[in-house]
Amino acid sequence: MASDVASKRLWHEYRLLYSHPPEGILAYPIDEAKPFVWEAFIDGPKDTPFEGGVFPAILDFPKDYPLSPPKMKFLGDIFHPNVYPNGEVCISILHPPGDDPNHYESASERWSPIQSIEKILISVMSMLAEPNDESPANVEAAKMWRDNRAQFEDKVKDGIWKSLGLEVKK
Amino acid sequence: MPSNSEVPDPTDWVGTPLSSLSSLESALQCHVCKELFTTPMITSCSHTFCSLCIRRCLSQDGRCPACRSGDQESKLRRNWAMEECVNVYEKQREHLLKIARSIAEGTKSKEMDDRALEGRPSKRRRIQQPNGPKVVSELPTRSTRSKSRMALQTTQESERQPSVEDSEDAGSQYSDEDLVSMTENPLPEPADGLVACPMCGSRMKEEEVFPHLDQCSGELRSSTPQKDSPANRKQSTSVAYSVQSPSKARQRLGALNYSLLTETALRKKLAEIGIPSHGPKALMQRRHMEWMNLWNASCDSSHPHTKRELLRELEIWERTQGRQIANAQGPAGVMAKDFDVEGWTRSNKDDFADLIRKARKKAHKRGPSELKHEGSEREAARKLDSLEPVADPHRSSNGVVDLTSPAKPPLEQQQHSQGSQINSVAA
Ligand SMILES: [Zn+2]
Ligand SMILES: [Zn+2]
Ligand SMILES: [Zn+2]
Repeated sequence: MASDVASKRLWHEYRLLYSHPPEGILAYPIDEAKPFVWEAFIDGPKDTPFEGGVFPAILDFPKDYPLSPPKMKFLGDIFHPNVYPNGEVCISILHPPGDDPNHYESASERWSPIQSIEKILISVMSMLAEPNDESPANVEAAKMWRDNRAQFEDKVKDGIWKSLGLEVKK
Repeated sequence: MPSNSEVPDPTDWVGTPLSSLSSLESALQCHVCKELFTTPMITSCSHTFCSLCIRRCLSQDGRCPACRSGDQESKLRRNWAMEECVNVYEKQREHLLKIARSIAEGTKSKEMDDRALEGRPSKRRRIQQPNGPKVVSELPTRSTRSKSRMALQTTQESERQPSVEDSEDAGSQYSDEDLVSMTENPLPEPADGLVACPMCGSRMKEEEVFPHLDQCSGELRSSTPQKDSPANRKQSTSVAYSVQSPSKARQRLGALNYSLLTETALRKKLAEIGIPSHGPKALMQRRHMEWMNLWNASCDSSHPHTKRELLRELEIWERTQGRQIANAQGPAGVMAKDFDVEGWTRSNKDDFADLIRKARKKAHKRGPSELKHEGSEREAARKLDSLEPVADPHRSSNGVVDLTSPAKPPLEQQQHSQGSQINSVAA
């Protein structure tokens, strides 16, 4: 294991996530020798259109972690107001306190070195349940979520079924 | 699973009778680096971090990482009490962990032997379960599962743990005395009718142990077999209150106003201090900041590093963060170059089930299960399913992780049920 702070800290987080995995969350470094890229799986939260889906993502850690937050990107198609069409997640815990691309986040919700991978993934899980439609990453999704909830939910479910390799007969 | 490592971690205690020490150890950790505090400093807002950690945070954004109130390096003060706690804890840790693990192992091997006796009429008296440290509530019928589940918990003990197959054969060879001494007293012990103090190892009458513990210094007696215990190697260097005045031998470095310095002037400054002076201004600026943090944190320390040691630490920084700064003149938001996310996404996008399978396999691969001696591959695969290491931690009410209760159904099964649901909807 490398001797730099970031690698060591990632190692400790890995140990904790491994021995006490939060419900519905799985995360680990893709290659233990290079701990800066992690793979994560998040279960869609219950009683939401995302229920039943399992959402894979990549976490990419900067070398000065935990001073700076990682970036997170969903790998499959996910239709959500706070996820860019390319999969990148836009959520306040992933933004350092210094910059506020959305101009509405309070500093207390944003990244700080005492946050953790576990907290990020739990925040993302609750983001799936409760989208934030202020300055959305996916404008189409935000509009649909606001104006036509039923259509939004159908589209989300279609995406999940497709991701499971199942076609939906209409 | 996380591969074996000598790096101490609070999860080392999980699965031992001292699992509550896991939260004690977490309380002695810095929340920035997740290691035991090194030179703990207290902020104006009364939060405590390692000197180096808080200096790095403050030089980045001038705020306490815990409560985000503004603070300055010059206001940091030593947290002597915390330093003493950490020193004392560190000194005892290895020894305690050894004891905890051997008790856990004793409990396990006893259960295995108990199991080996099952179904065989035996004249031998069954060993009573201890009421105290119960690590595994019940030995599952599949040996592989118990082995790997156990190994999840502690890395060292799994190496020493005998396989169930072995112990089934060997079980009959143990006499009652062997079982008793194996389980209740895993360390070799002379039959002098005395018991050893769990702290220092000196031998005494049983009723003397508790009065003795009140005065025991924890220093191991040289006559005991645990010569390699940390308490023996490291001399007891408590944070004596006499060392409390910060070392005045070295001057702390002051911050530079980088915006007032030209690139050339900054380069000259770095050369004067005696640190590398190559690279663009942004890199030199960050290097100087890191050097200042390393240097000043070392000034805080009761055991200051030499300049050569500090230069070595700067070199580690240079290889990791420094290189990233040098390369990252590109826009933020670009994923790591050494990992082809786009390619990976493309190749996996349409095959979600495959993706999950891969991930699960990966998770299992790092699991310690050795399936070499298992039968068919199908059988091995079935076991992998039952081994699902990522399911709910089955915590019982007393906080002990129950390793034997059935895990949450693996992702694949969930998918199947989801699938059938969808099929019925579609039909
Ligand atoms: Zn620290
Ligand atoms: Zn604070
Ligand atoms: Zn005092």
